[in-house]
Amino acid sequence: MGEKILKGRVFKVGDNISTDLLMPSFTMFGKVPQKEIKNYVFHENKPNFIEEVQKGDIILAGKNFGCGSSRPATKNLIALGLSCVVAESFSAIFFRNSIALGFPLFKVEDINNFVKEKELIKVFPQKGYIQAVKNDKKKKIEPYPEFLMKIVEAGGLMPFFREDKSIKDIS
Amino acid sequence: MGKTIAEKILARKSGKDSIKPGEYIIAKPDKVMVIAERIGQLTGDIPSRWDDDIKLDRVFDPEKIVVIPEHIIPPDNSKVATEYKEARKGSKKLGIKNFFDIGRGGICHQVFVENGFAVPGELVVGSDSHTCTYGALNVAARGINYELPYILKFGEIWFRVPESIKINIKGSLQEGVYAKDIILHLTGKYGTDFALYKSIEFVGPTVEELSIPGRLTIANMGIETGAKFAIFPADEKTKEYLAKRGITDYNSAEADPDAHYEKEYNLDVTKIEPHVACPHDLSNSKPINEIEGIKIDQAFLGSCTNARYEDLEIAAQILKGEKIASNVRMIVTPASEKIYEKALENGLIKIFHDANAIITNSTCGACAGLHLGLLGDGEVCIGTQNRNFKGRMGGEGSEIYLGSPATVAASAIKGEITDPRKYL
Repeated sequence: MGEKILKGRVFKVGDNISTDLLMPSFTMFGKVPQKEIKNYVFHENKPNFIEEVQKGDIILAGKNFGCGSSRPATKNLIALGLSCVVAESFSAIFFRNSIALGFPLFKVEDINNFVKEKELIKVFPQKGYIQAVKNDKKKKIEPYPEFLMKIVEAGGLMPFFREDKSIKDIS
Repeated sequence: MGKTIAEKILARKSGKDSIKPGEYIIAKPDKVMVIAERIGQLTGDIPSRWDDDIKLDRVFDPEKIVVIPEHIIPPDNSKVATEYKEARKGSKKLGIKNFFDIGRGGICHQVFVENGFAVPGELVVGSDSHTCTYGALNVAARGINYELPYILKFGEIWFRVPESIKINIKGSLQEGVYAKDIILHLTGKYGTDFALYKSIEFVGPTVEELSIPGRLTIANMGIETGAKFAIFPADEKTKEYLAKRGITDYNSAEADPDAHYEKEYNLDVTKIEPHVACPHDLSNSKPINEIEGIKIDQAFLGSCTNARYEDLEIAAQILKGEKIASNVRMIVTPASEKIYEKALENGLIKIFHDANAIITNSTCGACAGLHLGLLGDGEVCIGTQNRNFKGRMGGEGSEIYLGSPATVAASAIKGEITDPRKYL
């Protein structure tokens, strides 16, 4: 079976993007209808994002993406149809939430100047690199441990919950 | 080879003799701290806020689960009120007795600690990022969120064994300088991700001198440095704090003398000034003399970081007989109802009231921008909480500064960011 390649335009957001920016607290706790919460991603730091984002797009971030609150902000990224986040590092809780939701995150070193805003990149999860479509420039992805890859491929933790199956079975 | 505190606890809880940083293990937490509304969604006949259709019909061990309604207390809308209602019913159905209902608890982390659930040497996960607070009592504790239903059902979850780093702290704090200033100094110096994925151990003579509330403040903000765990050794102060809560039988975790640390930091706090974290990031933390004079609209004394009795007392000493500036509103939100009660009995609430501050019940409230103290557009707040992210307290273009309870109290009086030592 061929590798599932992700391809999309990038939106660049820089370092220390908090989950408050990904899922503002004023949208939670029943204050904004569930279906509309996704429309507030980057409301405070990148107001045009919601107008411009399309299915399959990719967030390209610097260090410590998803820092702060444990709220499952990944839910909003999935709801917007984003294909993945590529960043220099992720906050540990955001990372866990994303694995549990089966949403792919890719760690790549020093990528701030890899491509410009809205340029296309391809992600090859198994071959382990990202590639700029414009000039075929490549960068290595830090590989996932096999155990976590299996959880992502299973669609996250919820299938385990539903089927009453322990993750021990795949470790 | 010797083990660090984190390695020791994770080895015990995963049933392994030896583990090493970077390894993936499955471990069994001793306790799970749960913010109540999720239990409501998982057990009640109401939609989940996270659009999943799963329901929880059993838990791994009801004795090991602590449920606390807390983010918005009392509920400010019917959806949340309904979730709490369902959480009450659902907890009963699942056999969970450790349920701290509205008016009997407060902010989850303070409730967990003050009721003796944080026990040295244990592993705890909780559905809030500041679960790392329990590290003050030698607990390997971390926040989780979306994994909660799985953990509640199976009583296990994966961990990556973190690299450990050691922060040696020596020297005596000057008057007017507190635990909060130590952690703000650290984020200012080393940034907000210097401990990313790592377990911090705080050691040294200054740490031994710190009170348990001071240690709780520092451990609480471990997550703001990226840390997975922020752990203190258990000592006589730990023992005394726990004995008051009837906890005498525990197996604390000590680091072995030959334990391996990826990095060691040495900090002498003798000359540290009061610090203030400036917008919109804790790495933008500065000694107070560099930013004194910035006008404020709101002063907030609250949160799981810095609203324990000791904190309220420090602020009350400064506010006694004073009035806050006429253009400032001040909000005092005790970390728990027990703390509120003690502050009431000892006259602190009267001091705050007389100074024209507003006293709220215990809730996350203003800190997380939920209720009871949001900012208007362009407004400026100085608070004792742990985060100053852009937009966190509401308001377009608002700004959040963070400092110690003393700094917040002094700033409220002056109407601008002020060195608390002027009021001591």
